[in-house]
Amino acid sequence: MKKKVLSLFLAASMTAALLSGCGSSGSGSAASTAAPAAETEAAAAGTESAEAASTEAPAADAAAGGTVVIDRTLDSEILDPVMTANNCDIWVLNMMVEGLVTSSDDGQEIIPAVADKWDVSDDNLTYTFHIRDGIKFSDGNPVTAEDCVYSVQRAKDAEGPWLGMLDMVDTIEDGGDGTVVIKLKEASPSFLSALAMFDCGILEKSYCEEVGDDGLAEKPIGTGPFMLQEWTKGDRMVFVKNPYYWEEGKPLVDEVDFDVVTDDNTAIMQLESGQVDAVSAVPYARLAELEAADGITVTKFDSTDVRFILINCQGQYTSDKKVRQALALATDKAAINTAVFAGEAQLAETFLAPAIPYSYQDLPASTVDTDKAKELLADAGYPNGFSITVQVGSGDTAVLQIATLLQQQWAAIGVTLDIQQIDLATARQNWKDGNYDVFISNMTSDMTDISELAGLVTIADQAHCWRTYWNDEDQQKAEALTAAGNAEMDETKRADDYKQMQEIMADAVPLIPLCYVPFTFAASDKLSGYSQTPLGIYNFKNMSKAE
Amino acid sequence: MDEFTYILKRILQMIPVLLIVTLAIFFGMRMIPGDPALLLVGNRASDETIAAMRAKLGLDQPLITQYLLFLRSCLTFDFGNSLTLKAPVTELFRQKAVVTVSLTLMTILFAVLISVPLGYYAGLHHDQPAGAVINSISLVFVSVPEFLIGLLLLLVFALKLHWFPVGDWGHTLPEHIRSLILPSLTGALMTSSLVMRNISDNVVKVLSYDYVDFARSKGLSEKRIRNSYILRNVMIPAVTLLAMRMTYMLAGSIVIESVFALPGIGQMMLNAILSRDYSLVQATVYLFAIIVLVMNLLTDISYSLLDPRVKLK
Repeated sequence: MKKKVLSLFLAASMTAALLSGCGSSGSGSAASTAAPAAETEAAAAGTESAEAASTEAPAADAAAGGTVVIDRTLDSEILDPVMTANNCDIWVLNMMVEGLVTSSDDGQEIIPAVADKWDVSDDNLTYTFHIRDGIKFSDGNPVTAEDCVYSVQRAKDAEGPWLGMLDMVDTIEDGGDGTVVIKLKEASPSFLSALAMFDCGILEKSYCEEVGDDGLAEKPIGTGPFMLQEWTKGDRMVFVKNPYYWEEGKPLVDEVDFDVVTDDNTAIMQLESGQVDAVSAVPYARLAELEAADGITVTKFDSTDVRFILINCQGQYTSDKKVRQALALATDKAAINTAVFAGEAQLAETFLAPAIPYSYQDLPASTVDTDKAKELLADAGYPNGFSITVQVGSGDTAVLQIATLLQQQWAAIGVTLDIQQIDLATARQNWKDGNYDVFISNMTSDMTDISELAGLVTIADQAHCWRTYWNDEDQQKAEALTAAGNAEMDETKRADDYKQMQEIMADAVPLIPLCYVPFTFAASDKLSGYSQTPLGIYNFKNMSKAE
Repeated sequence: MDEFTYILKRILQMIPVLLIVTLAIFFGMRMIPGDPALLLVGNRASDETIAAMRAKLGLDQPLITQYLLFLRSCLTFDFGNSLTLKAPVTELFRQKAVVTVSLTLMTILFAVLISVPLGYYAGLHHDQPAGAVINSISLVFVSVPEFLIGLLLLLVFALKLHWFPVGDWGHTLPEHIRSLILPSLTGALMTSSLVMRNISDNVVKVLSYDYVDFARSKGLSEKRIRNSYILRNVMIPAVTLLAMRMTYMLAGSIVIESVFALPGIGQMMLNAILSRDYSLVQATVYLFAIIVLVMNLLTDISYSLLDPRVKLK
């Protein structure tokens, strides 16, 4: 009988094994300085407390080196540069993979990367890129023109989110003597910016062919300052220094770890306790508190992230331009900024953030004018308003807050906004199918040029004007201006095309821009030299960690 | 021998249940709107690109073909690669299940350690202040949300006292165990409050039964009466309750995993559902259905061990 009783607690006895473990570790944790000594290697990953980290410091290299642990709320998913449109992937890709050229930290210029210089023919149709002497992939193999031709061609042809970005390219060829020659069909002011995008990152051809697309999605090999050493999906990514990096002495730190911590409160506590060195994308409401905290620096990087309300231009009520103008006049952007973004955002009049070249920031500031809005509604034939719906992805608190504020603000002109909380994938599907009234969304640019976003919202063929299904005279004018600007080599004329396009959008209101939000990064004072470009890309090659 | 046939019969009964599970999850996932291909290639992709991605993922094939492929993988336990993460589903499941199963087992252990002695004590002293105090405290823990308890424990024992890491799973076995203590305690407080009340109520009931009086009149020692007469009778419903809570927790306590930054099943499942990662969701649900069925079987077997009157037939 006793035996039976024992076996009854089979499951419990398994836990008992764990219990004996807890006992020993519990006593070990009390003397926390003793514990890490036995596991110096593992401790480098930064799970130990701040004191523990400093005790092992002398063992590491002098000034440079060390491990930096950064929290973020979501993990990467696919690291094949041509197959992802996910910011969590894009932002880390540039740590491993560089293009022939790349964008500067301020996102305004194109600077050399794998190619150290390039020549442009007089007709702006032929670009000759000179591959940097002696540049190697992170596995030690030299970068050849063949690798570059393969990678750019792959980016041009891949049936992924970026299909079409290199449409201006005619041929990509090995020009001999370590050069790559790219010929264009027509002169393009945005070609270099498109080439600087992460999807054109230079990959090792033989490796890509060996591991296939899925293998590449798990681990790309490029010439970037870091290389992916270990990746536990949904949990942790470990990047280590690329020993062959072309820039002498860079990167400064040995290792950068990204830990996934979904709960903001926990992430901030980890930073405060010194368990991690930085938290990326800190909620705006917590910035003030962290700025006041000792030993923590909060940085707000200029971004291209814009929050806006898309309006279905084929909707029952919203197909009328006056209705859209009325909604814009009833929207109090400042109130939204204060309530949702803790006042940390910058109010937007155009959907193109100031960090994007040719963004036109001199549009008249919008003011809330309910009287005029009511007049417009009456003109449109809705003196008593109407009722429309917004679908909000459940769990998306920022969007829900915006929707709730809009509900109050639009009620002032008689428009009833029903808020439906549904699963985000369903909401997105409805939006894509044009099955919505208004949709609250955001967008970040992926290139240092205006053409990508301008095309998305004005060119009907590209994405139905970002699924606003905007399609009238205004739209045709805007589309023509964008098309002209995208092909114009003269900077002044180009700026003028885009300016007019943005003026038309401000009048026709296929979308209501709300505000530009910065990328937030809270880090221990020990860290310096980190940056995030307006595209969101992490630049950690100049980052160092003081002891 | 009877026991053996019983267990075999129960295992065979699992087959139709699992078949229903596969049907429900396969068609359920496809009935909800949202297209994994669209979510993968992103909003800016053209319709042609989305169609190409659907073909690449095999989603353009007839539903019945896709279902049969899924059934085949259920038999071979080779679920292929996740649609969104590109890594083998079985490997992803193993990584996350280790965390969730350890968390659940440790939670149950803590729950037993807390609830059995306290519940028993409260039952024996139900008419005294001590019993009332224990019962009231248990009410508090039933009503406070888990995330709040979790954050408070983190604040005190991790951030202030540095006894435990602030969340995180760690990299070595001792680190894992250390990381699990606070989240297990958080989960155990709620569970043990329920179990404690159950035990305490049942102790009160059993105490009034004739066989207890009879045992006393036989002159049996108080210790013997407690162990063999009261405790054993009280344990049967408590085991049922614990088993139910265990199944519930195995499905992944997303709140606890999120607060303590544990890379468990809960978070992975949520992300997989949101990104319509059919292969990952289907395989995870199927594998968990098996675990739950096995747990239920073990619970039923444990009844017969606890109570000789229960026969496995």
